[in-house]
Amino acid sequence: MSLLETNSLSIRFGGVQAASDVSVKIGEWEIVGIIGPNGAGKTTTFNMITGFYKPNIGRVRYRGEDITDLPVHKRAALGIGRTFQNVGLVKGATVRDNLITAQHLQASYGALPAMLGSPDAFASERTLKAQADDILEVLGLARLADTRVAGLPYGDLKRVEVATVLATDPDLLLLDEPTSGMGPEEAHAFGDTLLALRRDFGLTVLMIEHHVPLVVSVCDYVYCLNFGQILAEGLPQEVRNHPEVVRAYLGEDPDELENLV
Amino acid sequence: MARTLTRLKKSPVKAAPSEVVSTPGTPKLDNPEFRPSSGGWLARGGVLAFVAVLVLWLGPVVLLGSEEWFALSLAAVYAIIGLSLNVLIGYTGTISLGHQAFVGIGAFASAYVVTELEQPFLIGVLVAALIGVAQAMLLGGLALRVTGLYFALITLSYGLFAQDTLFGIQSITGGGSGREAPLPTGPDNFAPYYFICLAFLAGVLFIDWRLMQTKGGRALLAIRENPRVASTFGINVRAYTVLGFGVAGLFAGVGGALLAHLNGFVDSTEFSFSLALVFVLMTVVGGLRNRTGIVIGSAFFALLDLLIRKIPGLDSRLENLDTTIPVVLLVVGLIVAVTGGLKKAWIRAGIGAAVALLAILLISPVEVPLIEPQIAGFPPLVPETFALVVGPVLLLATLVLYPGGIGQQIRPIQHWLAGNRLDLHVGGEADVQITDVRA
Repeated sequence: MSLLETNSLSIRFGGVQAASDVSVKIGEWEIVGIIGPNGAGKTTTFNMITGFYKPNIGRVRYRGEDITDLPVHKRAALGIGRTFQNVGLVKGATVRDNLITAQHLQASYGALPAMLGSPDAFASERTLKAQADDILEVLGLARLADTRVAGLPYGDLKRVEVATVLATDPDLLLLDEPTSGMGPEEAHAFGDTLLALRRDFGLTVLMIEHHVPLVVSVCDYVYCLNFGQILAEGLPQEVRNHPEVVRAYLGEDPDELENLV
Repeated sequence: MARTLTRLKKSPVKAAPSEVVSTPGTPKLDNPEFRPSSGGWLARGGVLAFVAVLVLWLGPVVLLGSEEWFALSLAAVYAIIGLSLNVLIGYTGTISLGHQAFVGIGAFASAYVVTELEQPFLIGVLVAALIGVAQAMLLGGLALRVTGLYFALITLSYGLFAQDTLFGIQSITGGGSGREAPLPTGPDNFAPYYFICLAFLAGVLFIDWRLMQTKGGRALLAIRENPRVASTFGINVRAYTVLGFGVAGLFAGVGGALLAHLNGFVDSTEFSFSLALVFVLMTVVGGLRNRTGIVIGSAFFALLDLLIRKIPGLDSRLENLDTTIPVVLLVVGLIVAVTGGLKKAWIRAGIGAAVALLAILLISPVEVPLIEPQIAGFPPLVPETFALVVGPVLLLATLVLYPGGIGQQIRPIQHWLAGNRLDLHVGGEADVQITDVRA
């Protein structure tokens, strides 16, 4: 059984058909890539999977259950975590506090009793903090723990965002352009991190990525979107060389693609 | 809870997770190498003890009269109200310009319960708190649909509506004639009442502290910055926004009830927009998200009236004075602020010196004709509206110089008291966010 399955998702904003008939399927432990030019409907698809948009047509199934009508925070509770294209972090807080905030659902106390001084909260808070520090240590970000997010360089922000979404304890991780702002070297290193995370955390990953070599090296399966529709799908090499994909990215000249990758 | 942790234990990437975990129980220090000496701890304890004595034993030591006890009680009540507004503006990022309604509803509720239903004072406060929570949660539901300036507009009209309509309901509020709210400690016996107010303030501070140390407070701060991101953390944006409003309503309801019984009487004219304005001013000048700062700021605005009357001769001087000086100060301040001149140390020093000189002239026994300008028929500077004259000047100074208000200025002291090395640069510009109202 696939972990996540979308069934002909379609959404329209006014006169724009942002996505139509998007059906993707992600098996457990897979790393699946979504590529496509700007405005192809990639992030729109993410937003329908995570619950920010409600599709006009189509259903989202997670572990076989229909989650199309669930709000975002309930989907997060089921284990769907996501990052944002423009960095989804609480900028006024420190890196560690972001990770602790992200562990919202793992706090073993109610917000109301905690407010009235419940002793459970004290013990649970220590666990959350220790866990946040562990995750930062694993990702090699421990040095940033006490830094405020607001002042961090973009590359670090992207890494901290991944750490933060890991703190939500996801089973399915949706990454929206995780390597934007990184050079080829860093992007390659991120690919290794991703493989390690899958191995150690048992993650399934769906990621929007423009960096084609990274997609080819880590993804098990790739979807290419264009104008809100799935243009091609298959193994990374197949999709990369698919004539429609080449045309969507570069126009008619396939030689240029070779230069690109 | 343990899922991530158990995965981490299996993780081959990780060497030894237990070593990074800081030992629980020890105070959190920014610089782990620094530990104050025993003398250092003694000095810190001494400062805290001094503050405690100042707050708790000030009365017995200097033998205050009932006027001062009244003012001190008012300071405690204002601090509670300031903390209530802080939950809204500071934590949830929604500005309330109708907070006099929050407070007034609590005041009338308690007065009604005590005089009409003949219940004890504490029941009155309890009912006021519950009604305060209920009305605030209702408004909180609205904050989910309307945000930013438009929400501020709604709170503004809510406040005016409450003042003109809700508080005029004859059977509950006594209509125009108002309603009695007897002091629980006996007529004009303000001293014990001060300690009752202080106890409630301590409770409010405790709740606020626990809120911000746990997931509820973190959820509010995350929602304030970005509700979309917060929801991907599994935070129920709707529920927590309503919770934030509920807490603000709780504090405001308690504050309102205490205010009613302190005054001995409630009527609708008390809860005008200018009161709401003073509440906002004292909270922002005190420093959003800084409990100590807000208590100081609120107490300052509550005690302003007393301070004016306590300085010999100032009262009569103010009567002869008009608003020329504050208006000139404000205009000069604005020009300097707009041109960015306030960033220059010498201009700040100059303005500071001018204000200090003015203050000295005002309180000096020598009659100085200069300070009674009476120019162009400016309205007189009556003590009743003094807060609304001083407030804007302080607000301007706060927003331009110290966006974190008094709270930002006392940050180095707080940092030191927490067992760190004294560092005057703590709480600089970078530690304060100016974008406080969610647009």
